[in-house]
Amino acid sequence: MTARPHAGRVSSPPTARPGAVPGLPRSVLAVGACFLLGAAAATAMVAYPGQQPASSVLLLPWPVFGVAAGILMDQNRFPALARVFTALSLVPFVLLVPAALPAGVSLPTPAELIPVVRSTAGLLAAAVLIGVPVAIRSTARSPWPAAGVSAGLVGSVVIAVAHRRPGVADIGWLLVAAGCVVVWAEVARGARTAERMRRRRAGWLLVTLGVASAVTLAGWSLLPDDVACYVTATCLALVAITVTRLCLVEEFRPLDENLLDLGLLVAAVAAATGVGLAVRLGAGWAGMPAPGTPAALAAGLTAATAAPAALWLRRSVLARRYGHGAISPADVAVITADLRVAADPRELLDKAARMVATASGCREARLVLGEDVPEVPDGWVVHLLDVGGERVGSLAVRSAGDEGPEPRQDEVITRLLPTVALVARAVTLAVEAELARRDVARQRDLERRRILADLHDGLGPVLAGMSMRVRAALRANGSGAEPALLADLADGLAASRTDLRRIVAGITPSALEGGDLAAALERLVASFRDHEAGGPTLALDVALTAPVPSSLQVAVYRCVAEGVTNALRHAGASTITVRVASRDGLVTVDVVDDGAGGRIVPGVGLSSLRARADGLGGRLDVSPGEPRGTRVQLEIPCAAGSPA
Amino acid sequence: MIGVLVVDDHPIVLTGLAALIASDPQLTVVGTARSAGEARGLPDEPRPAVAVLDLHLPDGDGIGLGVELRRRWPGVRILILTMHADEATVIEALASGLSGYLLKDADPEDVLTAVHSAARGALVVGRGASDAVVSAASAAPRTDALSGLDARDRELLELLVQGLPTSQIAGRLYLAPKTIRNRVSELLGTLGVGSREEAVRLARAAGLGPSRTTSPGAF
Repeated sequence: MTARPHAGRVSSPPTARPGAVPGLPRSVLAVGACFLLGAAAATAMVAYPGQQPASSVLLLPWPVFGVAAGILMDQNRFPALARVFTALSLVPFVLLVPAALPAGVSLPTPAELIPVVRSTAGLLAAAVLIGVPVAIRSTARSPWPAAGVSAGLVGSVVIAVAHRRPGVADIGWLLVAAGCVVVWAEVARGARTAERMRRRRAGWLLVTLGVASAVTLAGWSLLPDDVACYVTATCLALVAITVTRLCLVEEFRPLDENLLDLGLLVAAVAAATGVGLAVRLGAGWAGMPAPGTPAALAAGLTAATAAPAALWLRRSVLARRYGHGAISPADVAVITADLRVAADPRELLDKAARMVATASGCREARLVLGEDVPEVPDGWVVHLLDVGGERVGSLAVRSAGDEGPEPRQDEVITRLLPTVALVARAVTLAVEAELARRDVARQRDLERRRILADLHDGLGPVLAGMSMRVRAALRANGSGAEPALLADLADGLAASRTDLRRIVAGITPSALEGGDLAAALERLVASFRDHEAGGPTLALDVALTAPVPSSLQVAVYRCVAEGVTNALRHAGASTITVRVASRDGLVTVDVVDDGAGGRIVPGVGLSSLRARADGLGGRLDVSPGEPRGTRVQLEIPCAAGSPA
Repeated sequence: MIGVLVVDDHPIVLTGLAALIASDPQLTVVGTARSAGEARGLPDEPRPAVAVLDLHLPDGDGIGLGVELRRRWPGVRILILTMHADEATVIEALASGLSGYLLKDADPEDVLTAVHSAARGALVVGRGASDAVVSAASAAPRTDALSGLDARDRELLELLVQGLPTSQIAGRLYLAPKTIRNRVSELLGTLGVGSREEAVRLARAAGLGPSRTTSPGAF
């Protein structure tokens, strides 16, 4: 955990855009009125009877701004820009007024409008190129936009006054251009530090305005004036549409992706054109009758080949950035199959998280179980995982950039969430099952201990008292009882006492509570040696390289106790060898005797030991020894880190 | 003759022990009692040389009774006889100035030998206190401070014993640190302790040792 908790964010489902009011607000109606005025004026001029000068076309794009303003108003987006657009939609109407005045308040002819358009061109250009970015930019206080606007206004006044004198008008145009540069530079500067989506919006705005003004400028300098009018009108309409769209869209892809798209398109077109030209030249040189046909065919073929190649290139670049976007059923199968073999099912969460990171192109992902939402540092985003209305955990992801995942990555992650939530649920259930299993095992041990404590405390004193009584009778010679019978009784009672002690020691190994298995085994074997004077030789060999979890320790201890007890009781062996070892993630116990051997009927002890070994994922084998005797073998997997 | 007083609440043990002692020609039973109260009510004479006391009596423990009897009959040797032999009791008995300690299920001959040794003034730490038997006898259940915990609590306690901070425990259990903090305070409540340190001490005393586990990174 870093020093900045709560720095990351928790993703929330998308909500309705604030302020979108149902019904038509008054401002929209006002915009509609302006639109109608402008549109009516433009239509009146364009539909004027008789031959029209091309400059009438310049009135047509302005109503588009009216429509755009209406949409912005309705969506309650960028109100300042909507007002600028509204004003722009009135342009045709406003232009009619000065044109109509000299003629005595009557509808002017389109030809009369031409000087008005010329004198206001600077103002209109400034309104679009300076007014729009100023209206759209964030509210950071800075003197530069005001300076730009002033330069634009002065420039437009100069143009309006001196539009007939080219030298002076050029100074006006230079002032307008300077105003544009200042405002655009300010917009670019403000965007650099802004949040990602605003930055991209500003980038697109500048690109749109820049391209539109460049095309318009080129049109007026290179083409006949008639054509330039059409070009200008088209550019104006496109600017209105594009800027509106920029304002409505919430999410922008990184600009370099669009550059990539453009580059691929240009490359494909260039390749097709190049091939077409080459074929055309070759065919002409070879004197073919219709050189255009093979050239067109070749260009078409090249384009058809280049398109899939370009798409493939685009897809692989995007996949590198955003991941492949899915977790396949095979991936889920891998995760859930591991549920059965993993020592701790929670380890699978790391695997699932890695899959999410790969699929979504994020740098890192972490899964956390439980209802509480983890606190994450900057750059991380937490997604909540729900299954059936129940919170099962959280998914935290860290994207490559500091600004959180791209919208597209968010989309991928959102699509993966149900699957990840199911994995988290499965792991939670597996963990709960494992904990419940341990609880049951512990309860069983406690119950056994209780029973054996009763046995020890109840039967022990009785055996002790009877032993003393028999010994007393045996010592009192001439009591009348048969000495041989008393001696047998004394031996039987002594054996019973030893057995009781062994049972209690074997099944409730509190000797293990110190956690030292080797020492506990040493004491256990020593206690057998102690009480079997003249019995078989007992050898113990413990080779444990890793610490043995305590649940396994109990099984090992009992296996040794049970194995040795069996050998002592039934085998008549001369040596009993006990080997306990750990290797390759297994703990093994070998109890081998050289006694009578033969068929072994597992008693309660061995049977319960076998059940316990099964429960721990191991096995217990009882087999004939070599060359004779019996071998009791226990093998339990000892996964590193499996807690007790 | 050495006079022996026998106190045990188990009738079979009492009669067996009395018979065993009576069978030794040098020993004689001067009194039997089945509780500490009964033992206190015995007459001053005949005076016992050795008292064999059960550790657990219905109205008290053998060690306390032994100390009391020594005040009444200075010089009397006290032997504690019991089914349980844990080190703490052995040490307590010897520290109280008693003469010995032995297991009921020891061989009867050993019991007699112990009585003779005690009478001679020797300190008897019979087979009952030898390693092998201690381990076998300590197999009898002890109260476990952690018995109230379920597997989930134990898992958490084991990580606490390893000395891990909350953030790392959260990382290992794939839970939020807030969940861990809540569970730790629940755990402290279950154990009835006030701090993590106390809980760790309790766990260590109950034999919960560190075990190695792999850990994924925390945030």
